[in-house]
Amino acid sequence: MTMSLNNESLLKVIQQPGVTGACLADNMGEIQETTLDDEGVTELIAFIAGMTPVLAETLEEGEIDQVLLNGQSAEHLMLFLSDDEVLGVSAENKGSILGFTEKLQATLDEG
Amino acid sequence: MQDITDNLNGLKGVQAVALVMDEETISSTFTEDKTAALLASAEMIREYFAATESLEKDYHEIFFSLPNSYLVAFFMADDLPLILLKIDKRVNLPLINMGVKAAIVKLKKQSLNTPILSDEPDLLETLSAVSQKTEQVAKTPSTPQRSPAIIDAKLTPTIPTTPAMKPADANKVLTNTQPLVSIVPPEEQDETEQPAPEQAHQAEEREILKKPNLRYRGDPTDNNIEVTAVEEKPKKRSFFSWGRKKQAPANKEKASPANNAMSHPQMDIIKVTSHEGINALQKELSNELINHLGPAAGFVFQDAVDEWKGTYLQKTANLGYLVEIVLKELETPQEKQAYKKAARKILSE
Repeated sequence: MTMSLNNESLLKVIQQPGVTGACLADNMGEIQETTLDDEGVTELIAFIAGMTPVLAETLEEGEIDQVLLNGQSAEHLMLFLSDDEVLGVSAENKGSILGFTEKLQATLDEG
Repeated sequence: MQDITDNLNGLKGVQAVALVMDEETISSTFTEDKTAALLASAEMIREYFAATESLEKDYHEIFFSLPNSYLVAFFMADDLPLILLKIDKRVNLPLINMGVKAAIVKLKKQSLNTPILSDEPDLLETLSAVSQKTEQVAKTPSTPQRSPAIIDAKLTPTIPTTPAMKPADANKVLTNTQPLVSIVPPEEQDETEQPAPEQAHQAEEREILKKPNLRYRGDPTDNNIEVTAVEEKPKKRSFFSWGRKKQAPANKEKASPANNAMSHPQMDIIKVTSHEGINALQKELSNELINHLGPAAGFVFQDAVDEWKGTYLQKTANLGYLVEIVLKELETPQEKQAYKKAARKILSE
């Protein structure tokens, strides 16, 4: 994964309309920065950050660079995974999660 | 199960489908060499859903972005298979969602009719046993049954009004400065300690409560309103009222333009039609949904019709409720608005 995730990435995404919070974790699930109020969601992100590399290895379909959680009423939860870091983003549950993720990815890819 | 898998696999953009339950692939279109990896991954993915459930989040879809595709996991319940779809990166997601929803409905029906796994007890027997136990519990509650709650006779409402109103004659008057109603469970009162006239009055109040056609009338006094209980006699139906059509109220409001049409049960733009006419309208609504979302939407529409039939009288005026049920199945506001507009057009023709 060539994308680099850091505090700057976090700052970029939390300024996007619809984003309600974000957190940065390493690939062992250790939280480094967070703007999320919900500690449970932060823990969930850390859990997914730790599990996903193992899942990718088990699945044998290549690397997993995003994990998107979609629910009826719960906020959209999107995780962007790089080699060393994981950026978890929480956003309002409006519209397609895939479309919103695409926009965030474009933002992260800028500069 | 294979038909469900095949239907999903036939959707545009779907590369492969698997239904996994209890470390066993019930049905799959993945290649056989993928089976072991898929099963192990499915168990891990269930851990994801378990983690979200522990936080009381209703996540039911997880997308895992792979180099050239997504692996999407749909979770319904612990006793239903996990649905895994491998789909293209660019795909008609509402179409996929509709197909999955139709598959979920079929899976639920199948799980009620047949056990998923051979060593599971018969679900029908289990369900009937549970329902029998529930009935027994309902008939013989573990807690002692309470007599109806009583209204304290010493209560009076204290709603200020304008003066110069006359009090009217009353059958029963609540005369207290306490709040309007105080529901006091009988066992919290020790009736044996109360004076006899009060007990008699409470007994009388209980009698009043037993009368189903009791009505309360508020008669303003100087600064209060005296509430009286008046027993209304049941209205006698006139012989000549049988078969008489009800006349519309004179000042009935017309349905406002497009925005509120579907949210208001009175769709006065719909003409009364026969049963065949209702079926024709349903067919058009179904076709419209299919045009929007693909052939799988037909299953979803049928389920909405089943729900509608179970809840509402089958008449044209209630078709708005059917549309509302269908709208609940649509994900994005754009889809809802588009279908709403189309449905309104169909129902107004």
